[in-house]
Amino acid sequence: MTSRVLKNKLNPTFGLFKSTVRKNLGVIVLLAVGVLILCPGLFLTTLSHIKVKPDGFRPESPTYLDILFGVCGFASAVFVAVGNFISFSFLYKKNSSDVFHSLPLTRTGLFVSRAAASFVTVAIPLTLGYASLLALTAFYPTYLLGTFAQILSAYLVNLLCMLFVSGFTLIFIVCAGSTFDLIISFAGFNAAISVVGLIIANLSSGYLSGYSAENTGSILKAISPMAYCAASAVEFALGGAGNAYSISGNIGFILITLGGSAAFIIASILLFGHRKTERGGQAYAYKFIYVICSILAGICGGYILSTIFSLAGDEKPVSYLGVISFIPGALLTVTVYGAVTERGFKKFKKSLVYGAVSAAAYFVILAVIMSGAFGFSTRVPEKNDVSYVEIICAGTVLNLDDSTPAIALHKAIIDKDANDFEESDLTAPHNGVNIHYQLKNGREMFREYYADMDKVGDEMFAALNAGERFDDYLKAVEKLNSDSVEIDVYDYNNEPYNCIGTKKQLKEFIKAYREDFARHGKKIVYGQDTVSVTVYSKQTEGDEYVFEIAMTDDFTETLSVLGGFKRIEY
Amino acid sequence: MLTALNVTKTFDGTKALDNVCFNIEDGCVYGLVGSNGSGKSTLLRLISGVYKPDGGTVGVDGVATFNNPALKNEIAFLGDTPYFLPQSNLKEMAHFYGSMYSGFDTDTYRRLLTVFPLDENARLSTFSKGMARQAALILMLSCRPRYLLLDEAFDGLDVVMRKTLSNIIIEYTQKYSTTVIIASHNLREIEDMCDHISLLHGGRLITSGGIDEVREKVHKIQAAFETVPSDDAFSGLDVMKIERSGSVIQLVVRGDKERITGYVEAMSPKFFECIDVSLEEAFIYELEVLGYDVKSIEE
Repeated sequence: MTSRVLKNKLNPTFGLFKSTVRKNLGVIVLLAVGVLILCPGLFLTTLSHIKVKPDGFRPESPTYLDILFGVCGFASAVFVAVGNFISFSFLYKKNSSDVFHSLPLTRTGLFVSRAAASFVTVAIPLTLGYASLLALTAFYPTYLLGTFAQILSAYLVNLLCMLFVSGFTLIFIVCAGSTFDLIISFAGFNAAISVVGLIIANLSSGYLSGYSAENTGSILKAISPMAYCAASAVEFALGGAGNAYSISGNIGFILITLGGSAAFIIASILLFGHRKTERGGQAYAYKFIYVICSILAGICGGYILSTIFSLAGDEKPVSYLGVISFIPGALLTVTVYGAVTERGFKKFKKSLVYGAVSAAAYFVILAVIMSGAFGFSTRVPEKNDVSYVEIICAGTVLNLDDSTPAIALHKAIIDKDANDFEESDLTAPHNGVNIHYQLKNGREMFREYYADMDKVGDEMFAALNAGERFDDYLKAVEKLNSDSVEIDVYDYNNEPYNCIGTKKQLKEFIKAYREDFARHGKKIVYGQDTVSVTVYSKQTEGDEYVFEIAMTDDFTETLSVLGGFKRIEY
Repeated sequence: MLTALNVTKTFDGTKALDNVCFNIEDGCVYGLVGSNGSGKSTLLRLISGVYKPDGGTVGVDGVATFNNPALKNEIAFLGDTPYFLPQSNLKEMAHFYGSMYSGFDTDTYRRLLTVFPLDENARLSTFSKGMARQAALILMLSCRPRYLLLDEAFDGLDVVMRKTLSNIIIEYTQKYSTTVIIASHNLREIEDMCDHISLLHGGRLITSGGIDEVREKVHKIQAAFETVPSDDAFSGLDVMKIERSGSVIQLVVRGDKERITGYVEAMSPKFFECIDVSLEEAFIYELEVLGYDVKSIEE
């Protein structure tokens, strides 16, 4: 720097930030009014309806923290994205771009000041809302508003989600060259990535052994940053095992969101620093985002056409007809997307290339799924890694701390190749088996099979005959507050047999059933000629236990004990 | 000194500027003229740090302006279409620039408001094109920059305001040693105001220098001969254009006047005259050499 160049005594970065926030003052006031109507407004107007439960935190209805977190979480994410769009709209017009880029700022300073201003514009009203809830909690400590820690955690996560969404939108803003293309790419990417997630889920349910519908959420979370943020925020609020609004119970989500935000913002700053100003007004400043959107659109379009043709031909998507019809679908969609972006068919040849890449990407996805998705189809957890397991099979739900029978059944299904996708043309009896492992590392593992009972009947019976299952029934019955219990039995024709007994009788019923079950042997897993029995107590509202058991007419001991109950005729 | 060294800028494969070099001394009024799409505005954007050159350097005393806040603090750039923050008035814009530029001078701003009679509390979006330009000029001049870059400075201004602006620019250069660079199509206005001038065409700097220097580079010769010489007879001159009408030859020649007259006189013309050309004519001839004339465009 030469001595003739005078240093700026001001801080233009901060100056631009301040003037942008000042310019947004009207929006800040409007948002603040909206938030304050919600909290404390809604609270104060409905004070008389709020349940006071000093012993526990979560009532049946949503707490005010749930409402504030849900509404503000969604609204703040939307507003920060829109705020960024508006704040950086100067990029897309030559005259505004000239003014902002000629200001005495570094590129980073310009970017940070504008992004920070739109963040603060939304964060100020949000802070007011949470501050109000904290104040209300202090004034009305007996009302169920949430603890101080929970409110502060919710506030921090709300800010973090805003930061994540803000960072993510900034990537699109920097890459776009016009407002139209920004909207097209942002909306297109998020919609297409979700559809691609659903396509992967749909293909997996048809071709990936063990795939469960429960895995769909995981797929969406894995490939869509917005879906990840939204789903994780909901999980943070709902919380499992007393982890609602707990930072420590959701540390993975916090770290990923924080890391993701940092990555998005750093990438945006770098892209902005190298962005050619003159690209403003053109479709894209960086083409890669257009290429990604094109490929995603191609996969969606190709799959839609593939499905239409497959359905018309009464075939599955993975058939000659399905595969062949995918290619024109992908090419057509990418060409149309390219025509929208290029305002004509100027880049027709490039669109064809992107369409071909879409088709190739789809076939790679298909190949990965059909080859077991990197070991997904053969993965069985180690017993030491499992916290507990839930199995739903033969109409029975089992919750087992000892995962041995579940793992044995799971391994048997894989080793004996007992899973079948097609429900028709099966001669051997089959049963649906859903396995849900809760792993010690906090993760979950879901598997779903349509298992051939001729192959894994023994393992299935062993799981159903687990001592822990019947012990759990007995423990649950013991916990019922009332000694008098009602039992409703429905046979396989759904005919009711309702009766009243005592807890002691119910325990005898369970013990008799356990003996009959063991004696009956593996025939029960075939599910033929069984009677479905639902047993529960409802002596007092909310004090009930429901479990389903399967039995046949030769469960003599069980039926004998049941006969001892007092029958009710409605 | 503001310098450009081998500056190249390409837009989608089209060279907007091709190896442009110049030096602009501090305190002068510099005019940039050229055909449409010649790269005038691009050059201003490069000087102001809006664009980054693809090749070469633009800056002050060897320091590049791009991404250099300290240097940009001394440069005010007014593009061909003024831009103001949405829903703002002049007062707010003055506050905005005041928080950006350390040289922003409220007294100058107040004084300029008396020169350009605008309501500082009125929404700028309600201003006419000329009023918006006046408002933008007030703001740029109030920043008291060392380098003032004006793209189509007089566009939309009425005759009085043009003259007023012209006077203010001259006052600025004298009082504050401000270097003013004006890009314009209007040669006559630039001719009256500028010390130096450059002609751009097709992204290249065709000619550059002081106003008189540029004008005196080109001469029009009218001569009559008993035996009309062939074109080859003038091969010793830098002939830009040659027209014949009977025994009379009209030449447009680039170069030193004395050398040209000496050369032609040596050919013993019956009649001979060397006519000075206006700046506009000089530029038209320069552009004609490059194939940019009315005739070739119509064809």
